[in-house]
Amino acid sequence: MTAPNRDKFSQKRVIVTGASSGIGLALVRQLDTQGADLMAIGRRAASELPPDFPQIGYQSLDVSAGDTGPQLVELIAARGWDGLDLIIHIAGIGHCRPVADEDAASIAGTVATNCLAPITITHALAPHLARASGAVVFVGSAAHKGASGFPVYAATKGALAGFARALRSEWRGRIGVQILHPGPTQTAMHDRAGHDPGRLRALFLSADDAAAAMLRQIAAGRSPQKTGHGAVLRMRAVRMLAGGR
Amino acid sequence: MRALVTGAAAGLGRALGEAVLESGGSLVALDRDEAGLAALGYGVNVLAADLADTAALDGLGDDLAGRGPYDLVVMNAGINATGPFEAVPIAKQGAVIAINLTAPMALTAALLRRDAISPGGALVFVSSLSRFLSYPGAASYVASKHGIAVFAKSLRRPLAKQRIRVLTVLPGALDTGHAERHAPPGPGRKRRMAPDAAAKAILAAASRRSGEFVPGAGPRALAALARLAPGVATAVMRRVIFKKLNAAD
Repeated sequence: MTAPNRDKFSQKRVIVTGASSGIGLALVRQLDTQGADLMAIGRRAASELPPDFPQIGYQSLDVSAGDTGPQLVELIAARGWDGLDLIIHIAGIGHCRPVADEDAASIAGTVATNCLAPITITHALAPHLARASGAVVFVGSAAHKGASGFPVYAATKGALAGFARALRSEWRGRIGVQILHPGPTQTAMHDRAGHDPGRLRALFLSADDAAAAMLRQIAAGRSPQKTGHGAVLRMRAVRMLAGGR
Repeated sequence: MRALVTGAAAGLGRALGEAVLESGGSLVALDRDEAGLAALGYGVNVLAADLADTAALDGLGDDLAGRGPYDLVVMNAGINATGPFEAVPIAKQGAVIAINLTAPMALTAALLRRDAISPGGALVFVSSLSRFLSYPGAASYVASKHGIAVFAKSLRRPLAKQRIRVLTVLPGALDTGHAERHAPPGPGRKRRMAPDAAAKAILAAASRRSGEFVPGAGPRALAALARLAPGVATAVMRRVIFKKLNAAD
């Protein structure tokens, strides 16, 4: 018995957005270890990456700018890829504040990053995904059913859940479509969002555990999937049974 | 009662505005269709604006707040873009999300900032039955309608403290120009609900409760079935809508 994703990502052409920190960074590290052919996209300049960032193609792009789709098409051509096996849309932002403290620009910015970017990038890369019979993975949130502290963020993640369900049906048998809803994770996102989880933070998943559980769920292909402590415990149990890998 | 209705020049919005006027209320009507607004008649406070213009939303919200305060606000304006996801131009899909999701969130923020919704009043968002059924062939539309329903749900508790009810309406197919433009060709028309019947049911629901509301017994039964078996509901929608949309192209 082996872990289901042992060779799943080896040699696969994979794009990860939001790869310069948090879960995205943990994902590219693990995918690199598993032998994936990676293109990592992040908001940070390459010079600001952690010193141990894997030796893979990294591009600094702001996905909210709206022209990321065509830019990725060019990068794929420059890389000599004739198809794309997997794209994981991790990039996301959010603010913890009442809606009256939002304005049109902040709302439009959250919608652009969390919702429009994954939709437009997927639209631009659809032919590449189709050629490789690839898969697209959207990342929602435990908040996708509603959260009174984060109404705009929750709305964008709910939108993505609705989008993924419709597209999964449209692309059935051609391109895999999946949405994962990670539970609260120990990343800098909560600080950037102005949210202090207090002592609850101790219960949050580590970014490494969340990323490992997500890769397992991506290998299995089911949707929607929650990535919480249950998923991590199941993953650990399978690894123990598989011989401590 | 003073009401604000967006997308008030046609379809469900027009029916909602007429129902407000019939019940003796006063109406502020927003739409991008100036001629349609003019046809609403004397006594309606009209404002022509395009909700796709995101940069103008703060100013528009302030303008609307100045015409309040309101006992009823209905975020109804919406567009659709149907067809296989990869075949519908991305600019069109971006406009769907801007008008159906970004605009009602930004206008809500502006109205709440200016205390333009009276305590005891209602804030209503028009979502869609596709929240439960899904809607292959309109993925960005589902995104926008799902998103606005989640936004509404997130506001319910904080606004209850200000004594403002938040109602999400999930209509099925209505006998409007919208359905005429986006439903696959076929004999479905007689099964669609009349917009004035839907409007009356929505006003009645908004006057007494928060939560999610599906107008009509048939759509309500569909919603219940779809919640029990979402996979089956999506598969049926794929068969009755997506495949026909593809065949019609």
